[in-house]
Amino acid sequence: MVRERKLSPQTIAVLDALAAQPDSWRYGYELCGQVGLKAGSMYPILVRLAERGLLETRWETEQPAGRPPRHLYRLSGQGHELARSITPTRARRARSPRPRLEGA
Amino acid sequence: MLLLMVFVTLLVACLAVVVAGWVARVRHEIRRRELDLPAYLLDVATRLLPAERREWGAAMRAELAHIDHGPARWSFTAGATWAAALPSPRRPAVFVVAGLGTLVSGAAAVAAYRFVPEALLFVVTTGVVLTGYLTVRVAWPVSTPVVRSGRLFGVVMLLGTAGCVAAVCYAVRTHPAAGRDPARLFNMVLAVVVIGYVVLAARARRADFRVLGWAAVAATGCAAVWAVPALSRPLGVDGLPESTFLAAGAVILLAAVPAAAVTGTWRAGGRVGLWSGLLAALAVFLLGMLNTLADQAYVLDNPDDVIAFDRSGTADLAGFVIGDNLGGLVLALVWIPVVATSLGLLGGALGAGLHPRYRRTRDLAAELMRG
Repeated sequence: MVRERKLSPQTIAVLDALAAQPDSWRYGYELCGQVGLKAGSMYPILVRLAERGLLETRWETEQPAGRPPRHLYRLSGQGHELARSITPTRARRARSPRPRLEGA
Repeated sequence: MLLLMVFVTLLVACLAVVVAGWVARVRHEIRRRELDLPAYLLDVATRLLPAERREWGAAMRAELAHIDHGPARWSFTAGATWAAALPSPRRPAVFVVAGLGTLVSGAAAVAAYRFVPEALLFVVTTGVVLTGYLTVRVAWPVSTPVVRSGRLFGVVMLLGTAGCVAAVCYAVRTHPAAGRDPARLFNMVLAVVVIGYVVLAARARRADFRVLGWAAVAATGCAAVWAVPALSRPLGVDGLPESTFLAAGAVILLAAVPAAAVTGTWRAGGRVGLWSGLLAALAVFLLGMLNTLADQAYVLDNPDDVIAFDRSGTADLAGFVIGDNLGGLVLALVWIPVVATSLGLLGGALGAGLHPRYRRTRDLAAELMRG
């Protein structure tokens, strides 16, 4: 059971990026480039998501010559559920007009 | 003032040697492991991660190995190092230690302000630095196993350090002039030194038991060397005669030789010097303070001291003499371990050469036992 906790916009962006290609395994630097986050923000988010069971992780099996295998990530079942539950909420928020301040 | 200048010069020289040694070591490591500077820095940062986060350190190192563009490597390293430096949220103890440390430091500062205002700077500095150190230790724990003899060694060091602090507080409480300039500046120096001793006492728990054994032998030898003049005649304010320091140095040098011969590394000699020097410095400090406080007939036999006393503006001669001696004893807490470590390294260099002979003798003895 995932504990209810308010997600930061950066975490939501990472969830969105992972949910966009649910079956592919992604690596950290690729996600940094896609979401526009530095490694200093990305890795703590990935650590938290993995610790909450929202991410599956594994190491690259086909090792590029002379370089170590990378750590790969994709959403788990719970992660998919969470990503799906967030998306309609965000879409609703985007559609609703912002209240205007009277007299401004 | 002269003492302070000597201390600052020594401190700067030590720092310069440490920085130069560190730079040389980094350059050597980078060449040996065929890394560049970002990869080395990330390696160091992720090596400090607790066990449950080690895999993430390996993930970040592997990721960096796939980035070729120079500025991108630096940018990734900066971010990943920051990520590695963040304490794990699974360690609520970090916040407990930080909070408790702040509370205790605050209470100690209030008590010092109320009862020993001259020691306020010392108490505040000690509290802040010690709380910071303990918080860092809890956030990034070391997984090296604790040695039983090391624990005992650490306890002895902590007791000695606590004794020094108690002696200083007593001296300043009974003679407030002892806490005035230049001794007030020594408040902060003493705080830093005390923290250093507490940190090293914690590290002693994880030291090599063979090194600690020889350090204990050296410290006992030093105590014996110092006990002879102490028991044969009453000591003056100046405490121990110079010849005892020479004899103690020889004892440390001699104890470092077998430690290096047994372990096969010259560094073991340096560690014997360090640990025995720390114990010796604590003993010198306590003995010196006891001598100073026990002396009821304070006199100024040096013309420079007479001028300094006139300039100090205090009428408390005892407080002035105690403060003056306190400054010298605080410096002794620094220079004795430094000199002892140097002597230990010298003994270690001699002893490391004897290691093959020691191994042959040990193997022969084992064969004889089996036969």
